Formats: sequence, structure tokens, C-alpha cells
Amino acid sequence: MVLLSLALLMRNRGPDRYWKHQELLKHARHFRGRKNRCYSLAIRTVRRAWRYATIGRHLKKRDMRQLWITRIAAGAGEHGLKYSQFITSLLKCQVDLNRKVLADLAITEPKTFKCLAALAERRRQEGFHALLNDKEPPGIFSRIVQQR
Amino acid sequence: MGAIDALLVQVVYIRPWSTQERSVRVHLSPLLKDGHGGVQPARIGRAVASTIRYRYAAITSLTQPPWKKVILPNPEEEILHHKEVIQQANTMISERDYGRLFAVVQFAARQWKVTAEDLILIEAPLQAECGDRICMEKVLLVGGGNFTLLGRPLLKKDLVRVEATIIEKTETWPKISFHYKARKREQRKHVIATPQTVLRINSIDIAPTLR
Repeated sequence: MVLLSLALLMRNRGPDRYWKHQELLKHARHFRGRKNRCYSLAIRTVRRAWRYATIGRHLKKRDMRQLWITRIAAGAGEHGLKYSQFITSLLKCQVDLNRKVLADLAITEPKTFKCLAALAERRRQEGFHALLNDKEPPGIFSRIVQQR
Repeated sequence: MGAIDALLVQVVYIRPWSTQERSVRVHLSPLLKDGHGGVQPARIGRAVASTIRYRYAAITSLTQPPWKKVILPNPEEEILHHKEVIQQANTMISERDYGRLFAVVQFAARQWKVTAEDLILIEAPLQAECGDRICMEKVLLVGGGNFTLLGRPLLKKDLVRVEATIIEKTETWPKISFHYKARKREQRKHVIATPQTVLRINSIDIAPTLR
């Protein structure tokens, strides 16, 4: 007859707890205090760190774009243009450089950026000229133009 | 009209401003023979302009539009200027006067500002093998020390040639995507390792002449 009750009470929780803890502690070794050594303190901090890293990967894209926009605005401001005017005029000229590259050019290639700013300014003036000389757009008839 | 005294007045159309406004020195007499004490509008004969009516008005804040007048440069002078610039650029290109060229290239859904001997890390798998030489076709901008060629939006393939070699094809370090809600016993852990390629830009070449 085999007595099973004592054996069933003694549960084997697994042979590799130490290695599982080490796998998690390796992500905590650069923390400060006991949370880089003690598993129960480390598990909480490491979970938060992983969650912040996941969220941060999305935020980084937004932050980088904001940074590029700030730099482009600064560069365009040096040449007498606002960021919105600069970007819209370049788009209307069919120049498809993105903000990352424009910020890079503003820093490392000042002559090229100056030419881009001049191009944007010229396109802007041409746009005004097309609108502000008392001509109606094609296909629109108004009493003012007919009177003239 | 009677005897004339000099009185400088701007002649404007009835509409506050117009590009066809003209300023005319008009002489008026304050006392006209017909007995009117004030300023009379000049009547323009039919031979001059039959459909336009003039009215005298002082120069006010509405005589000029509030925006700056747009003056574009002379088209013929512009054409000459453009020809000069293109000629200068052509001489520079044919004599290889540029030092180190840089290019802006669209590759793997991103734009890269690139020179020769650059290393690029691309977070995408490429179908070519390690050691293959690749030509990047979508070039948006090429520049040297004193000139830049700007594409609208791309430059032609026979104008620029950007060549690169594939050096390495690996995966990223294992990034952990972890979603966790405190005190709710909800967590999801996913380890991501996307493929990466490392390219070395070998050369950027411009064809001898533009157009």
C-alpha cells in the first residue's frame, strides 16, 4: 500500500526558480538600491520600466518630429519665413523633403537651406501675385469683374 | 472750368484700391464760375474712357491695400540669370569642381541624407544578399560645395547614381513590448526582434552635364 497524502502535501515548485529570477534581475542590474538585487523589489520596478519603454517608443516618434519642426522653424526664421509658410510653399513647389532631412540640412548644409528658403519665398510671392491682381479664378463670374 | 490753382489730388476709382490706380496732378479752382464753392468732380469725355468714373479723394488708409505690393522680377532678366546659373553649374560638374557630394535618398520608407563611405542602419529586410552592390534610384537632392540639384520631387536616374553595398543582415536587440495594469492582474509580454540591414554607401556620381 502506498501512502500518498504526505507526498502530495510536499509540492515541488520547480527546479529552476533561481535561473528564472536571474533572467529578470539581469534587466535590473543598472538600478539603484536593493531593487537591483532582490527579486521581489526588482520585479515591480522592471515591469514599470518595460511599460515605460513600450510607451516611450511611441512618444519618441512624436518628440523627434516636434524637434525637427522647431529646428526648421528656427532656420526658416533666420531667412525671414515662418515654418508654415516655408513648408506649404515647398510642398507647392513639389519638393518632397521630409522634416528630418530639412532639419539636417538646416544644421549641416546652410547654403542649401538658404536656397530652399528663397525658393519658398519666391513661390509665395507668385501665389500672391496670382491672387491679388484683381483677377477672378477661372470659371468664376462676378459682378465686379463684369463691371470692369 | 475757371481759372486754375494748383491743388495736388490723387485721382482714384470708386473702389478703394485697384492695380489700375493712377496718380494725376490735377489743377482745380476753389471758386468756379458756375458758383459752386466746393470741389467738383472732373467730367471725362467719352473719347477718353466711357465706362470709368473718377472721383477725387484724399489719401487715406484705404487708398492703398494693407498688404505689400507684389513685384516680381523681370521675366527676360530672369531667363538670362537662370542660363548663367545653369552654365556655371555645368562647368563645375564637367570639371569635377565639387569636393564631396551629399545626396538625399528615399529608401525603405525613410529619407536619408547620405555621403560616400556612410554607414546606414535600415530596419527592414532586403532581398539582396550580403556583399551585393545596390543602386538607390529615388534621389531627391544632390549637392556639392557650391551647388545643389533639387528634384521635383525626384531627380532623373541618368543624372545621379548612388551606389551602396550590403554589409550585414541581422536582427535588432530583443525589444520587450510589455503592457501592464497595476492591481488588475493584467499583463502581456512580447519580445520583438525585427530584421535589420547595414549598408555602406560607396559612391555618389553626377552625370557630366545637366539637360
